[in-house]
Amino acid sequence: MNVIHRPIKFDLALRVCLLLIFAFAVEQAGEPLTTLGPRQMVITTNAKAGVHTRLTDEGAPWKIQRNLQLVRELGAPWIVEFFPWAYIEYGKNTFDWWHTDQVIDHARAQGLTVIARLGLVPAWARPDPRAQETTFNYLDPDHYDDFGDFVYAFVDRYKDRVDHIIIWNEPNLSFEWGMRPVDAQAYVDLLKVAYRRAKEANPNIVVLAGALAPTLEPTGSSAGLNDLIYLQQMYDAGAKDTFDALAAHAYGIRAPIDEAPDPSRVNFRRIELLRDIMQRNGDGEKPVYITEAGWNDSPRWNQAVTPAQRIENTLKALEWVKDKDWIKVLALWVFSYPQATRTFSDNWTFITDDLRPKPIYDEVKQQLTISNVQ
Amino acid sequence: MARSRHLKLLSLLVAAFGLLLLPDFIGIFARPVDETWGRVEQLGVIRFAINPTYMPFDGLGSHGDFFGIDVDIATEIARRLGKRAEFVIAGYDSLYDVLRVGQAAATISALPIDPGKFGLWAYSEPYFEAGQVLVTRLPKSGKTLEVSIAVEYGSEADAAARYLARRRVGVEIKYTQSAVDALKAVDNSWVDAAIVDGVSARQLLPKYPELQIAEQVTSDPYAIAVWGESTRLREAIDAKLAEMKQDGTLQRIVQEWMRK
Repeated sequence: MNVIHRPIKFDLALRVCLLLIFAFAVEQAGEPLTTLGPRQMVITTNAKAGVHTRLTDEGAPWKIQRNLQLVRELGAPWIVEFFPWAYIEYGKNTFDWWHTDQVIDHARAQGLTVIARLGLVPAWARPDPRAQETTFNYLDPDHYDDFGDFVYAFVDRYKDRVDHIIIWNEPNLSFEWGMRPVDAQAYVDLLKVAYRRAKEANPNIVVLAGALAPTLEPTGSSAGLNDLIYLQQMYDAGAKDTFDALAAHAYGIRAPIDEAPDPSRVNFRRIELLRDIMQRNGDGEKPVYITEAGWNDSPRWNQAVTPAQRIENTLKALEWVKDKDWIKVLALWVFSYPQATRTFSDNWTFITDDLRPKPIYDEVKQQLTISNVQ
Repeated sequence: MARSRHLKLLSLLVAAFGLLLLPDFIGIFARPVDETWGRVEQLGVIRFAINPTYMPFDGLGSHGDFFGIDVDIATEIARRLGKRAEFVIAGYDSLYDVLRVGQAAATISALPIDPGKFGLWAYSEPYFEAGQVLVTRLPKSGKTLEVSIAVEYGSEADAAARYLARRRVGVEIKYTQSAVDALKAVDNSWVDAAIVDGVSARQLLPKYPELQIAEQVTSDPYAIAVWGESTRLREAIDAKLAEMKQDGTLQRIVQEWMRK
């Protein structure tokens, strides 16, 4: 009788392989499965409330979703988010839309309206570093059309999902202008290209200019230029027909919400001075979107207020904008960071990096969701 | 014959595997050259970066003199190493960058440990715990059951208390305008306990002899940062910190400044 024996070594090898596969699978913990789920709606007492999220460097879809769920639960219908050109178009006409899709689709699923800030220059659109070292915010006129192409591609792709875009950020600061002297004319030239291309992709897109950084830097300063002066220079350079609304930043620093606007002070109501300039230039019909605002409560920073003051000022600011027809949105900086910075920057946030609401989140949520419930 | 072939194949596989892992083995035992320590040895000086805006840790006098807990700790570490401590001011945002570019050998500035910095930078053992603490009255008898907790409204203590309240039935939070008021509330028995940050607790508790730190609620340790490759410097700092903890010097420095 023939008896067939399975080789012992093969058996052993097979078991070892299976064991290794099992160990590897257990070691590589999977991420929670994330689906968009049914479309949600934001229940709020303040249709102008928003937050600036910071999901640019948040890679995990479940965390993107959870952040945006918490924004909806906060009662804030708007988010401002940064979509870096350099992250998306990593080569000319070569796009990676995956992360952008995640953020925008999850935001829509939560019933949120996205204001998309576009900027950050990819390496291929900057000078060869061997010839000239530049920063991510350096864009010379030779590549304005490349940026315009990206704007077209972005607006076209998301024409059914994103109705608002911001062109650049704080161009009145040298840091944001590629460590060059700020140049309102150059910014307006960029704005013209971006505006034209955005409208080609979607005539209904709302193009926001700015936002300008609130600063008292005088003419000639290497750091930047007073936002009031810069805005007038924009109008002098022909900006009027290159944007539909102005994005503005309204930081309170150490001043309470009700401190009156003054050209010599940076406070929350400085935005009224920006509006005055718009009106003087015949642009009073255009709205203002406050795309960054707030107070910091770090005990380690001399530009901060106490935690109680931060809450009080924030709640009052949300109330203050309600009856201002010319203000469409108040987006508070910043909802969260993917990782704690371990600096005073953490004291801008509303939730921790492990997604736990802070007291200010609870207080704002109470005002935005149930304060008018009888 | 077949067995001999199998053995040869196995030997080849093991040899190939070993070659692949060789750089890792070398890395484990080899240490990068610590140029920072070399400079410290050569000059006899340890240059500490500091942001002198946070007392009682880091202050700057009108004559350019530095003072505070961090200054005393750094000075003592340098002395025990037979070196002299020098201090350079760095902006809060550049306390790490100064190490990268060699403008300082170490940073001591009430620096919280940031896991995101591991690799490029390294930290000493912690020398102070700044996290939130639960403060209660000294127990007269039996176990104190904390039901009502006072916290500064909106603060990290408030966040810790709200987190606790979500997980423990019956916890009631009482809001105050400051950490001082929270401790007064406990001292007056208006509440069972207070949560305050570790710095405030150590500064204020000497004024309230009936109060004690009952529990560490959150952890936020301060440590000295060095550039990641400054292994010998970090080890030297750790050794002296351990001595100072052992002989009570560290506690003495902290207590002296907390009482001021």
